Amino acid sequence: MPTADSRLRLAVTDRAASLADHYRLAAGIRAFERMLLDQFARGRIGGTTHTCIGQEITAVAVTAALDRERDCIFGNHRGHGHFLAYCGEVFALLAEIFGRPDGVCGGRGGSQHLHWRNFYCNGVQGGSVGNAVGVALAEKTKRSGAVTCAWLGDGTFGEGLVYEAMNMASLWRLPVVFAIEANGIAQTTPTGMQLAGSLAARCRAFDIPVEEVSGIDFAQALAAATRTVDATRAEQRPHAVISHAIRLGPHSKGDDTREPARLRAAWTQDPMATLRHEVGGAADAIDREVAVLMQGALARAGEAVADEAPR
Amino acid sequence: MPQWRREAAHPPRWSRVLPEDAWVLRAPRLNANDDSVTLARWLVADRATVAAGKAVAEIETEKATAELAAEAGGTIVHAVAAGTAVPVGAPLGFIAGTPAAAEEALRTRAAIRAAAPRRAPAATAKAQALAAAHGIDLAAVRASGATLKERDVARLLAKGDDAGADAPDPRHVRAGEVSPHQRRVARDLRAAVQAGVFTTLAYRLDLRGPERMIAAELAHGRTASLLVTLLWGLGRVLPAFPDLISVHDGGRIYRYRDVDIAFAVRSARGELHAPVVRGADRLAPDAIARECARLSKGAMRGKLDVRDVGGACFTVSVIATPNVESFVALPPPAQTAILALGATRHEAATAGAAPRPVATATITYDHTLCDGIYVAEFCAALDRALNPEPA
Amino acid sequence: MSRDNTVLASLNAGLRAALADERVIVLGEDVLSPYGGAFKVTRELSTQFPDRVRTTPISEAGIVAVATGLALRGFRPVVEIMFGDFLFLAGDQIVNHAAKYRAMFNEQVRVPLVIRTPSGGRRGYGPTHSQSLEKHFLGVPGLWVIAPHSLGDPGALLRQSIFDTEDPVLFVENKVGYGETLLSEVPDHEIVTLADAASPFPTIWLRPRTPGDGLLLCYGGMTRSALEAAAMLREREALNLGLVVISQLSPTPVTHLEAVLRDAAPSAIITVEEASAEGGWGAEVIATIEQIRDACRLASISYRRVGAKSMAIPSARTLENDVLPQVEDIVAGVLDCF
Repeated sequence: MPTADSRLRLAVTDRAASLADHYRLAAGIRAFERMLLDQFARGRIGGTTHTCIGQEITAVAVTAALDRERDCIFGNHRGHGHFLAYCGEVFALLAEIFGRPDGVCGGRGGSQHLHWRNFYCNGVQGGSVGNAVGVALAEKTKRSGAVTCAWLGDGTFGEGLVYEAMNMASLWRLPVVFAIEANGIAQTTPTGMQLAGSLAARCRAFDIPVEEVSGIDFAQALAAATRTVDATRAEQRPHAVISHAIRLGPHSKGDDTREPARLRAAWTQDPMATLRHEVGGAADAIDREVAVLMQGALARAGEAVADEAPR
Repeated sequence: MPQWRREAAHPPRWSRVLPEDAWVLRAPRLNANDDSVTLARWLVADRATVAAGKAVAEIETEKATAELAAEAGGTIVHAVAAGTAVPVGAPLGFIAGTPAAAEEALRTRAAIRAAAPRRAPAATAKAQALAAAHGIDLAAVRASGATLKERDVARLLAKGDDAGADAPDPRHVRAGEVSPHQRRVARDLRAAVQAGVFTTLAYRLDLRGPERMIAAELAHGRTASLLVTLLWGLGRVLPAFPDLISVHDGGRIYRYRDVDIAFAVRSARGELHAPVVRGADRLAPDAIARECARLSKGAMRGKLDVRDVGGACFTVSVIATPNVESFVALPPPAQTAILALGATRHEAATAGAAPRPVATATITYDHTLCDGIYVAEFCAALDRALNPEPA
Repeated sequence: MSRDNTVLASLNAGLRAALADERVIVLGEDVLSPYGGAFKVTRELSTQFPDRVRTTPISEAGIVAVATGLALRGFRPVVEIMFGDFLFLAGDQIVNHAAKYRAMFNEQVRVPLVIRTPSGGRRGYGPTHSQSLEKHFLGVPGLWVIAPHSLGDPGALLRQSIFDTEDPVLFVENKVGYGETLLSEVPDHEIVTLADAASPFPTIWLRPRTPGDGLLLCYGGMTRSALEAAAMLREREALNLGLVVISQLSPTPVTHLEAVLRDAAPSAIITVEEASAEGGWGAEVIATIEQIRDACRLASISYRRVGAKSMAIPSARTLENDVLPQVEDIVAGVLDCF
């Protein structure tokens, strides 16, 4: 269950938040993912995970543009950033990955299968996109005014269900935001070897307005996300935003087959570096704050479970 | 009314006549949902000559009507009559080069080749296995249904040597059924002998006294018989021998209060009845005689009042057929003893003495309540009662 | 034949009654009036409930995915997959999404979704339109597999699937079975309905009035064939069989089987299914029965499975009859046990 301990939670941001606040959240996600990979490398966690290093600001930007009270989100297998940007529950997520009963789903879902309030994610590529369309239909029927955000990667566009989902979302005029993180790679396969045509053309083919934005500049990302979400809510029809992000980490753990030189070049484009630079002097203090939070969460996650009550 | 739409079910194909084989005119499928169609009417006569492409029949379903055209030319034979409903694909007629060939086709290929009927095995696999294991010929087993099952073989095995009993013996002639009456008698006797431990004592009864008694009655213009004297004698003697007129349930003993004595009578139809003389101990011989006569007449006619049967404490049975030395009877249910008297014969008591009339009485009694000495004493008492003067 | 007293009419009426609840949404291909669905189960529903009966594109996976989303947010969707043969198109959504969300998310959500689909052949529709694929969804954790039949109340069973469970239901109808008249009594048999908290979808136990020799177990469209076979066996073979008509295919209704075993003490059990017998429902039922046999104090039982052969179902009628089980096959299967 999500913890009541606010020390182990990142503060989430909305449209009105300061750049520093957004940076704190994004840095928190980066620190979390790094910590995770470190823990895996030390053999302290089992199973599998997919970190979103390099894609943090997209998650923060899109989630900030949403209305947390009513909007619904479907993350994907690479969903820690989506999850933390939504609720900031660092300890709950860490505990879940550690398989503890006080994790988000009692240790039953693990890294890829999370649910909290209006946030869902499933590890099967493309599957949750269809569910998101259903949720949007439900919310439209209930007239709740909610928007449903479905996170996809460019690799996800190999799955037929994505097209079925886009078709129905557009046909039935459902308030779905297709938030596409085009990071140019799917597992170990570059997008160029996977997808013909363009992502944007695919959206337009279903009469879904699409905006493409850099995944590196936070302000641009937030502005694009804001436009997309507002248009979706107002027009009650799907919109897509394609963030050209970079996946700086491996697909899972240790399975990064990209050329080291390419990877180094990618790191020079690290969006976090850009954002950090914009935040300026306050960044150091924020980094320390985040580090302490992570250490606290890690220490707590390593403790014995308080009570072995049934999950 | 079906929609009247004329359309060819098959597009006409102008082909030459097929010399060797006949062409089958089949019921077409007019729509996805109907599995059968009706041949509304023939458009050409039976055994007419048709050209390829000519409409030869009108086919109908609930929704549509169509014409069926011949795809070959030649002589057509009708396989079904107008107005018949046929399954889609069934042959409606045959067209062949010559009338003879068409007839031949009709004869040999008229039926739809249905799926080969699944034949139930004559005996199931389990039956065969069990029979084989015990060396039994399946032909000797009677099946409990259309198929021979394991239980049928098992039943045969359980019977053992009576294996042949089920099969009818050719030396026997079926002679009828066991009658309800026979069943009842057998059931009663079976129940009776299971209730006690029965054995029999034989006694040579002196009949001079009874003969004198009978003669005396007849002289007075009254009827009498050996049976009557017996009943009279038993009436006098039985009260002194309560163990012969008591019944038990294995625990308690119950003695009959009244001396009601039954006697065996055979009706004209051969049925055995046992009407009861009530209170034989209080009746004079002529009263007993009258009762016997009344009861016998009723029994002979097969009509006895319900008050005349049942509740007896003792039964007498007489077989007077000459030369019957003795016989053993079985007591009916709820009775402990029965007296069976054989035919009268003449014997000398000792060598050189004059022969006198005697008969052998057997008493079958329940040894639970009394023993042979007791029964012997009863017989001696009866003899004394029937023969008051010393011989 | 009364049109009102058929399986189809009962399902249509049940769905209509269910739609009175505003949480119910019907989705499917070609379900709008006047067509009313490929097998007419949704006949005239869209005229009465225009906003809650939706026609969809030909996207089986998409429809089930959308319905799963609806269910997550409090609706009770009823999805029609036009032919049971197409179930695998939606297989991932059924198995990895609808059936798993509740458990994966640690009981925090519910997916009360019903997926309706017709199984079965005997209409010459060919290999990809005649199958009974429900067998491949048995034993999926979190998924009910339910089959109506003409001895029960199909409409009530559908409403039970929609309202009385919070978990996804695969509701498997039978194409030929749609036209069957509902039976309320069976000669020579007493009808006993079994249902309990562990297995809430009813099993119909047809107890023979004179002591029986064995049991026929069946579901869905084979019920009529099983009844016919039982009558034939009674007449021709002096074999008296009880029938057990199951509507809950998965999870296996162990409590019902136990109750029938104790009551009937059969020496032979024959399962009857239109799906292929190999690796199928009959195998599951027999294994379950064999495991509880000792506890029911029964001596050894003879078993047979009657089902389709493991081959693609041909289109030609006579060839199809060779592959799909006929009444004679049930009779032969029973005789094998005697």
